[in-house]
Amino acid sequence: MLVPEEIKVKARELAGRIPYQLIKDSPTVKYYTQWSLFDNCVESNNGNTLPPSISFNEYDMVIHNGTLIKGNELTSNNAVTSIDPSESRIIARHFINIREMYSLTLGESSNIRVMMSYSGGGSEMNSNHIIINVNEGALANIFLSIIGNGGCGTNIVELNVNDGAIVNLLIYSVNVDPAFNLIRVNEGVRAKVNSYSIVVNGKMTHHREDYILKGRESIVNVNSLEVGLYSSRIDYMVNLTHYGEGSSSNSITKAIALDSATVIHRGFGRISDHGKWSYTNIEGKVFIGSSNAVGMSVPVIMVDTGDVNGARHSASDASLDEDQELYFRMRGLSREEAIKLITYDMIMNFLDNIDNVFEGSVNYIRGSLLKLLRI
Amino acid sequence: MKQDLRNLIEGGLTPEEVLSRDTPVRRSIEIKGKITSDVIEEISKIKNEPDWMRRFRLRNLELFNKLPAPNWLPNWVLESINLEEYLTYAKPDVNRASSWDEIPPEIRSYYESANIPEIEARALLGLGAQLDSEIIYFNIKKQLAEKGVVVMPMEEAVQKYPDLIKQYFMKIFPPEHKFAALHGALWSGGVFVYVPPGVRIEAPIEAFFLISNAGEGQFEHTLVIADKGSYIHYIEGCSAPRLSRYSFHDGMVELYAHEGARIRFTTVQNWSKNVINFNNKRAIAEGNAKVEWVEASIGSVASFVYPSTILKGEGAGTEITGITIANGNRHVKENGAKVIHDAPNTYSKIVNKSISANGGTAVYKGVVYVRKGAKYVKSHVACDSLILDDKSKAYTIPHEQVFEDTAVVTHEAYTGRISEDKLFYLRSRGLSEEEAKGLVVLGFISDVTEGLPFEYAMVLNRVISLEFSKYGKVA
Repeated sequence: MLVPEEIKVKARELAGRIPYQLIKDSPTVKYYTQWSLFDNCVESNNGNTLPPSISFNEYDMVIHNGTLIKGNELTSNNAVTSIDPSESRIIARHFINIREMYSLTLGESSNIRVMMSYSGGGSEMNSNHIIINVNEGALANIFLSIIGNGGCGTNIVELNVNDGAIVNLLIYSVNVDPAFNLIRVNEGVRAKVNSYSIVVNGKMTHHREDYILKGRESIVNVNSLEVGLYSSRIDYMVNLTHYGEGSSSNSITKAIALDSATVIHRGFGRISDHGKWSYTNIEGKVFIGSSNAVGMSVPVIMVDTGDVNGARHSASDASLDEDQELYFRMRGLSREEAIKLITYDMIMNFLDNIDNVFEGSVNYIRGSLLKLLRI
Repeated sequence: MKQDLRNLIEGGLTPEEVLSRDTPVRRSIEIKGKITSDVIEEISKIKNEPDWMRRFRLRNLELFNKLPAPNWLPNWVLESINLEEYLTYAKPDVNRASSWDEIPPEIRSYYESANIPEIEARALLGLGAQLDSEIIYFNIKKQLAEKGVVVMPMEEAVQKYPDLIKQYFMKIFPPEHKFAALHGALWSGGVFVYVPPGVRIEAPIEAFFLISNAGEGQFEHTLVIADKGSYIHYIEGCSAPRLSRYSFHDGMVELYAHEGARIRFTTVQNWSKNVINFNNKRAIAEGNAKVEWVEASIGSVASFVYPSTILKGEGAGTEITGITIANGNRHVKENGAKVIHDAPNTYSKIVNKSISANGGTAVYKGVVYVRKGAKYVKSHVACDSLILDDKSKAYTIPHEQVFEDTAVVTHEAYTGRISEDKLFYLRSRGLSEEEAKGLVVLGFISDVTEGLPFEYAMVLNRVISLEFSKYGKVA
């Protein structure tokens, strides 16, 4: 549906007033997104630009610059968002820019492949917004691709997983210029989500995934891979919020920082006082493959009740140490070759462990990644 | 007695106020009210300070007035720090002594109740005891002087070693935030230690700080300089009787470990539940030096302490161990750690154990920063939190900023509930619930307390057991 005028009015009013981030940077709480780059982006969702020559065969539905290009299953009727523009300036700007939101309802057993792409000249900002509802007890396999081809982008996906539903979600996000991606997943009672995310490149990619475990005994497993090349900067954030009793979350992120890229992983697990007897686990492993690259993993846990099953996190940031380098050298590999080998192995290992239901999409991603990595 | 208590409560006092004790320690000088340059001049005059220190205080006051209130403190804490209502300087009406017999019995009883004279006799090479704003007891064993070790109240050091003090005082921890600047303006008391090259002090030196009255600020300053290849273990203990209103502690500890030196600094903070504790602690370690912090944060209603080490020289290392107990409604205990890896082959280990109970919130906030060029750094952070009931909270917020690809930085944390099986096991053997909880807590932190001197470990264990007993609520 066209974004209601009252939301736009509210968004316009807020955009000039509220900050991009609610908490100011301090030595211990720090944001790694350079929001100033988004300040240079100009809202311009005219929907007229045609997507570049991408093979649509890989997708059932395509939205480009806020306009539906392929897939009649997506409808703009009854697309009601649960996201409030007051959450942050970038979300307010997204609502100013977006023309239409699209929604999709999935029942029983569904396999869908959706692409959200954006492109524009220079500092043009284009936006996409999709709301996907998965019916009670349904099984859905969703491949979601967010592709930037120049210009700024804001992309929001709301995924409502109703009671007892199971969703396998594969996210592939490749960006060039500043991009803000928000995937917000709401889970009902005993709902389950298995998510695989691959986030690649971008001058400043702020990629955030919120998993809100509202329902009792809901479960989420998130496996993520971040790959930063050249001078890209990725701020990848996973928020796991437990409101449902006995809910469980597990997030494992692997990240690779090469060349002069900055790759950040932030994981945030919160068990609220309503989410008694819940469990959360956040792990981050960052491989730093160049002396000019920066990689960090920042996991945070906040537990508001003693009735907790457990909350744990772990993180490691490392490159090849002297012993490992010596090991490779003894086998005739230079440091550069060893780094390429480790990078290749980390990526292939991640892709090989993605659920078989995404086999075709994984092959497509594999090819695309190898091309980007020059391996 | 019962009737007296009832009358007091019916007369408008809360049970807390009835049980509290604002000890009538007599003061020869008290300074209260708005902190102006006149107040600073007055404190400096009382201490008969050289002009450079007077000007130093005034500069800090200027900074204090300019700097904004920290935005990372809970609002209720900021609102409770009403500086105009605190005594900013309180000199007890007692002469400094080097024998406990010379201390008036009503004051000595405080230290005796904390077992301090006995610990001094059995385990320490030196002890300084501060009451409110001044050191009232100071006794150092002869063998320290024979080795050339300098241990003295900070005011004396300002007079006797101005060059050393100018070189280090608030240079390790400059007035970079409002309360550090406030400390620079109002500091009073504390101990100065200099350990000459190659000297190893085998038994610890201790400073014990006591706040006797409600509505009081304490701003002691500790400076420890360990010259090349030396070793020192310094212990500080903090205590206060139960007070009827908030008191405020804003101390500072600066440590400087020269090449190859080792400093171990242990704090057992057991302020009463009406003290807001703010302690600024930082160390610099030169090449192959090592700094170890042990921070046991047991008492106080709100505490914000982040022992920090700057690893400046190649091969330097630090270990920061924290024990945090947040026991009580609205209790907020932040016990963090900061390590700056500024040189190659430096290493750090941070271990933090926290316990939250009865609505308390324990927070670990830490930073490990590895600058570019600090090659082959190794750092590990481990945080474990135990929550004893459904009203309490535990937050673990580590932050690792690594700008060097050869660094290996790891972090792990776990938050869990006290094991019902363990409690059941202990209760089935005749222990009450409080005793069982106390034992589980002691087991949880045992790997940290094991490293303490025996006498101190015993005191700490006793304090923690009491904290979780029925007496914990009345301190």
